Amino acid sequence: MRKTQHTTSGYGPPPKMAEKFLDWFLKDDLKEEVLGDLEENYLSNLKKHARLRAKATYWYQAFNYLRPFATRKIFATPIIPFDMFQNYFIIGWRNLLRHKMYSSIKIGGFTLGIAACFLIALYMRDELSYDQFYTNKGNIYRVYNAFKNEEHDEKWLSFPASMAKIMKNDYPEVEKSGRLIPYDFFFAGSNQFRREDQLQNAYEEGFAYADQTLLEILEIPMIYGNQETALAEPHTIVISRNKAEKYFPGQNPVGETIILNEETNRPFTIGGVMENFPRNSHLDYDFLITLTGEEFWEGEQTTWGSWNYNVYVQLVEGTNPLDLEEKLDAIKETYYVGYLKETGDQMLEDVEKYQKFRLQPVPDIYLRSVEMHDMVKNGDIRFVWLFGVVALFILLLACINFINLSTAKSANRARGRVKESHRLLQKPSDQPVFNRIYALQSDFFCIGNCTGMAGFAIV
Amino acid sequence: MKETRIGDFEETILLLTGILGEDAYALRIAEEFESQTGRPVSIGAVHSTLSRLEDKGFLRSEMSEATAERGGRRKRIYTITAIGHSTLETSREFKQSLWNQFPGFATDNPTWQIS
Repeated sequence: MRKTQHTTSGYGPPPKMAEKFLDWFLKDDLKEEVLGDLEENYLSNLKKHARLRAKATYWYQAFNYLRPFATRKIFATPIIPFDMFQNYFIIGWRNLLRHKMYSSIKIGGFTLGIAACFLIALYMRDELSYDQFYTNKGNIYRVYNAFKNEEHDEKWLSFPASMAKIMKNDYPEVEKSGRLIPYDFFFAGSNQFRREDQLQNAYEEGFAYADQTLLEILEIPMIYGNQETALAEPHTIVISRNKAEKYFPGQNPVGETIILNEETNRPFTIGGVMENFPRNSHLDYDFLITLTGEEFWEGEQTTWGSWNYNVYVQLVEGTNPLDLEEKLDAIKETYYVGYLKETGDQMLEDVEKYQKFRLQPVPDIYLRSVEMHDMVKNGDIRFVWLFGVVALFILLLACINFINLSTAKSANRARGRVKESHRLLQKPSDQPVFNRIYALQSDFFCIGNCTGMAGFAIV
Repeated sequence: MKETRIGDFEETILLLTGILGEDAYALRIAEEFESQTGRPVSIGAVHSTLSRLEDKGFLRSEMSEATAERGGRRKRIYTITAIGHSTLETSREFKQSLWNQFPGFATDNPTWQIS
């Protein structure tokens, strides 16, 4: 571009970007006059109006040069000859109507295949979405027992009451630990439920015992009350939003008292309202009863003879869970083996040799707990894979069917070639013929896709 | 075959080019159009019409000498050709003949009945 000199230097030059833009799209032989005209116009506008307005006008004028006569060749001719393709699609459509049976098999087959694939893909997506929503999902684990020798290979989740506390106290890697009782155990499971100020009981399910810290580890969002204190006091309970709306419509139920199973001597105070568990969480409870100060029978909280708790831990960022697993052997040695020795249990030897404490990432719980016999919602990663393979096969079948029909068709076409050869000879090359057939195929393909999605939407 | 008919906007631009004489370049013509008609027009629109008119042979153009006020860039000055001139005249005559056939007064006015 020519170096510009401005007689009215105090006003500043025209917008640089607009000049570059013009330089980019204008034909070479027009650049000089157009840039000149626009600059002259810009300078005269500067005298009359504000600078911003002059610039805006410059841009406006620049855009108005986006016309076929002024733009370089590359912009002038469409890259794709639409007219030609339009013709092909018309011919394709007529062919499709002429061979109704053939077309419907072809489109129908493809439709079914695509629809089935989409359906399966949605299922897989849903299964894989479980427990992926924790911001801290890389650091939260569930502790489980693994027992493996020649005869037995078992995994289970129950631990003594003191396990969580011991882990937290003995290992600096464990930032938080919390317990859950998901079994039918005292109030866990189902109960008769009523507000203290009402007489009518209602049957409610979805009770579990939980530690205060579990709310924090599993990042359970609280609507009323506080994640750090909702279950801190003994005899408190957290209820879901659904149940809060049912029993305390339009009010904040924190501090209200409820009665379970008419045990009026053991009322519970509502410590908070939690958001309903999402559908794709491995847990689904409406009532979490605190474990603070809870001792179900004498010595229950300290004994290694009664295992009723699931333990969740949150590890310090950057901890390698495998290292921690190794260290957990120390717990087994000190506490469990100690207890077994004391009671003279005959399991002692097996436990020492074969039992391990292990960690399972929380995002894996839903799909990878088949052999754990846990009491929470489970899917199965094998089915996800199986369905994935099935979907792939269906798609492959649909494609093969599509190709098969196409080749059969073109074999027919080849037989008719002799007749058609006259027409072909008049054409400059085979390319348009190929394009025409191709357009027909993509007709089928598009329609197949569209109906597939439509069918899928209906399903 | 080359298009030789002329549209209304083209005709106006052609006339303005003739009026401006030595000073007929895209920006000046656009300004003149705005001041004469009171309608805003972009320089690009005028320029595109000028180049079309040139294609049709009604105009021809030359680059002027460099001028300082536009960063030393030259202008493209358009001049009307003989064909352009005669096309304008044909157009005017055609319209004139239409006007001649157009009733001067509304036909439902009372007129003398000459029998």
